[in-house]
Amino acid sequence: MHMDLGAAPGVPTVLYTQRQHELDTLFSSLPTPARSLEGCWRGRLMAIRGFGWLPRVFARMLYALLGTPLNPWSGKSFANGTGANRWFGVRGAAFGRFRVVEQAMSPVDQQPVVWLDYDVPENPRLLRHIRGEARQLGNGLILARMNWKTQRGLYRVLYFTLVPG
Amino acid sequence: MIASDVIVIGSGFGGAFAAERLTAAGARVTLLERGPWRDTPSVRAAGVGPRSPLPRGFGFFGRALRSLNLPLLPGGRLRLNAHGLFDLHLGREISVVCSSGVGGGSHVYSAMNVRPAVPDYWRERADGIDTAMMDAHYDAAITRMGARIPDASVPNFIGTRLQQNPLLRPPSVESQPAMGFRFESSTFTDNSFFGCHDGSKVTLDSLLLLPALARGLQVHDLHEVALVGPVRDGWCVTAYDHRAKVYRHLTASRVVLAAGTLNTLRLLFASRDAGALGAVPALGLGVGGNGDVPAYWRCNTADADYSRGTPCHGRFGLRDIAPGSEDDVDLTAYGLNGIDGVPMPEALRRALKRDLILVGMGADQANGLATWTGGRLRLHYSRTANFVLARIYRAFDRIAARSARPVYFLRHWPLTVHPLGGARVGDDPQQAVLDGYGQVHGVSGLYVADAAALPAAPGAPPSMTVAAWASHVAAGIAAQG
Repeated sequence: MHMDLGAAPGVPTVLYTQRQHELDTLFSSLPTPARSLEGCWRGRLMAIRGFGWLPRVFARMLYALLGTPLNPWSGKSFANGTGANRWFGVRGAAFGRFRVVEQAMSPVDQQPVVWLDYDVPENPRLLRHIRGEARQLGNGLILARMNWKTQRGLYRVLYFTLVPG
Repeated sequence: MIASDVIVIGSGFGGAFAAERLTAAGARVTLLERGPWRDTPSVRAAGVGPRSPLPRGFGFFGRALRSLNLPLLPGGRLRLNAHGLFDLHLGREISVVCSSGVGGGSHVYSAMNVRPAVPDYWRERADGIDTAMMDAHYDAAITRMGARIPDASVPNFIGTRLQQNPLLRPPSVESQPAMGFRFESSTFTDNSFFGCHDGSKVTLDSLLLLPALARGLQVHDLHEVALVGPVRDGWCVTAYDHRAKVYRHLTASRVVLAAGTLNTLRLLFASRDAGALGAVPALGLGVGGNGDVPAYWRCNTADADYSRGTPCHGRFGLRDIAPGSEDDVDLTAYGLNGIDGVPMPEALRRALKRDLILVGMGADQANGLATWTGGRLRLHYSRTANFVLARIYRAFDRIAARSARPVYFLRHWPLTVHPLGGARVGDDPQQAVLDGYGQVHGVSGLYVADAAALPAAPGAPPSMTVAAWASHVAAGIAAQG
């Protein structure tokens, strides 16, 4: 079932100025999406690991830049329990596929989450280390986190938002 | 993550009254205030800190202004000093001055504690409110403020000072506004727009919040809220801690917005844009400025020192205007109280002490509109569609003509210190944002307890109307348990 989206929400700019550890707290408190994720969603990156030293004003500028077509990653699409990253447009090339688990428990904060598992045969070996988590920030606004799985555990890589594309 | 029963955003007449009442009812309340604790005698004595000084002396200009909001600025806003006292919002159609700090507007207001000039102000506004109920809240708030009418012993009290002026008609002492002011201990200096240094003015930090701290109220100053949204177990408030320079996320089952009209509207618009509130079709409707028209009367009264006295010298009318007639607008006079703390040449200071600030006020139509574009709040307000402004302009013109002394005011650019509306109360969600208990229509657990909720202009200083409304909202929340 699709979410009842209405007009696509705006992404609050305050998200772009937050560090990863600050967004961790917000992310842990969010509910899972009220409806299954389906269709194309436009993405915006933020709180990238390694950039926490940037002054907030520059971080905001960086993430604003990454929200322009200069960044080839445009978002994600979802269909029937699977999904793919979209490049060069929200309906552009699909690369980096994942399986969607809707009733999962986050190994990071032990709270319910929609789990995006990149360990699927279509992906190159490197991408299979990615584990995504998604929760609902508002009606039609998803806050998600990309983790990197190693033998020692999960490492948070970045956050991103998704709005209907 | 800090969890509470209720998070109150803002500590002015809405936030402080709501937080105090909820704390007294046994709720775990966290209050967030974007400004600092002010270094006033009672706060200092209570040992609360760190505190920020009120603007005075050489630090005056650095501490006076917190931010400048201009449409032309990148991002619409220039933050100058998180500890500053005033925010200045300059708009094409109306401009607004408001303050920040624990205690909110009580530090800078004129201390007038009055009911609305509009009779039956709360009558038939929404289910859940009635006049008798609100009268009880007014009584309690005015009593709590310790408000009383000044007498002739107060320096520059208008009832006596201007009695002989052939132009002005001071109303009887009985119809002067009651003031939340410690008359017995006051030095009658330094107690007005730039804050009160000697504790004469009854401010909400000392009156309500310090005692509530002892009962468990948590106050986080210098926490500027940026976003409010629903989470798994209630609401999450995202606030920037200016002291630690980090974002904090606080959760509670209920959130009360009382950040001042403009900031409350910003939060509601931002949250609506983020998909957190639903459509809220009436958001932004019914904005007004309470008919404020400030003016400077270069009356140059010989031997006068109008800077002494209570924050407001009192109410007056014009002798040639019949009481109760259409042109009989509400006028109040103020000296430049606190001017001794502002660095300036002595000759200029002496000259300014002989002049008066006049403020005209009246129930405007509150028919303006607040809009939200690209993360910027804009106020649309028609000067000509709010008739009371023209009446006040005429009154000032009369004063200037009859006294042969200029009265300076912004005839084409409304300026208010009492913005209101935009999230008004009413039963119809197409016309009003809040129900009769202050909760956003269709959004459980989110309340508004400041002047943004007001359904019309009170036409008089609105502090007690906001306090009464906040008390009503808090009582409703407390009754739910």
